[in-house]
Amino acid sequence: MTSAFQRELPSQSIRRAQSGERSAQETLYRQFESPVYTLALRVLANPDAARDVLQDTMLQAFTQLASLREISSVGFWLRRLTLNFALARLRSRERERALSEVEAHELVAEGDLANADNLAFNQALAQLPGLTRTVLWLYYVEGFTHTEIADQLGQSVSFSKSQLMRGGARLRTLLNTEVSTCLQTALMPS
Amino acid sequence: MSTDRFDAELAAALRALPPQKPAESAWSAIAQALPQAKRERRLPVLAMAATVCGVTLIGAFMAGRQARLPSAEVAQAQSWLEVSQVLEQQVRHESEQATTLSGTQWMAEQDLTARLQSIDSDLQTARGVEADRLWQRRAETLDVLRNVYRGDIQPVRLSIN
Repeated sequence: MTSAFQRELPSQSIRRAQSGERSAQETLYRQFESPVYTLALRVLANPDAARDVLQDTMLQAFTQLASLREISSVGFWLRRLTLNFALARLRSRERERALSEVEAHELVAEGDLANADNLAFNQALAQLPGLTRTVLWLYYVEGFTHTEIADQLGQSVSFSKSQLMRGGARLRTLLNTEVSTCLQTALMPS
Repeated sequence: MSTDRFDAELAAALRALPPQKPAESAWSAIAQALPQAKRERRLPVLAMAATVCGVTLIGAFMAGRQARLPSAEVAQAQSWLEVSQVLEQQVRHESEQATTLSGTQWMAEQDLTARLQSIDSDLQTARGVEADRLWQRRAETLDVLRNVYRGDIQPVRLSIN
C-alpha cells in the first residue's frame, strides 16, 4: 500500500523551497495539495474545514521548513502536520457539538465527488464519529498500524482496534439499510 | 457477506475513493500570508500565555510540581503561570540556539506546539481543578519542548481528549 504522501521529490527542489524560493514552494504545494486536503477531508468530512487545514498545514510547513535538516521524508512530515491540525479542529468541533446526521449529509453534498456511488459512500463515512472515521482512514488507506494510530491520537491500541471494528460494523449497517443499493454498488468489485 | 470479505472490500473501497482537491487553490492565500507567518515564526502559541486565564490553585500547584518537573527550574515559582513563564523563556532561548533541527526534532516541535495550542484553547474556558490540571500539562509540555531543542527527545503522546 502506498500513501499519497509518499512522493519522490528532487532534493534540489526542496532545498530551494527551504531557502524561501516562492516558485519552489508553489511546486511543493502543488505536489501535496491533494494528499493534504484529502486527508483533512476524511478526518473532518467538511470541505471548508479541510481547506483551512490545508492552509494551516502549508503555512506551518513553509515557515518552518528551513529549520529541517532531513528532507527525504518531507511528505510524511506533511502528513503528520496535517493530522495534527485536522485532529485539533476535530476535537474543537466535537467538543462544541456532535455532528448531526443532517449536517453530515449537507457537508458531504458540498464535496467535489466524482459520482453517485462515491457520494453515497462518503455520506456513510460522514455519519461515523470523527475519530472512528479517522481510524478507518489511517488504517486502511494510510497504512498506519494500530500502535501508530494510538500514538497519533493519544489513545490506546485497543481503542484503535475497537474503533476499527465499530466503524466497519457501522458502515456495514449503513450499507445494508439506508443506502444499500448505491453502497453495494460502490463496494462490489468491478 | 462475511466480515472478512466485507473488511477487504471496505479497505478496497476506501482506497479507491478519488483524491480530492479544494474547489479553489489555497496557494495564493498561502503565498500572501507567508511573510507575516514567517515574522511570527516559532512558538506563536507562547505569545498566548499572557492572555490565558491566570487563575491557579496554589495548593495543588505546590503538591504537583515537585513530582512532575525538575524542582530547580521552578523553585522560585509560586504558580503554574510563573512556571510556564519561566519555561517559555527557556524554550524561546533554546529555540533560537537550535537554528536547524533533525527530522525527529522538527516533528516533535510540531506535535508539541500543536499540543500547547490545544491546551491554551482549553485554558480559555477551564476553571478550578480542570484549569490546574491544564496548567500542569502546559508546564510539562514546555519542559519537553525545551528538551527537544536541546536534543533530548522523549516519546511524546498527544492526547486529543
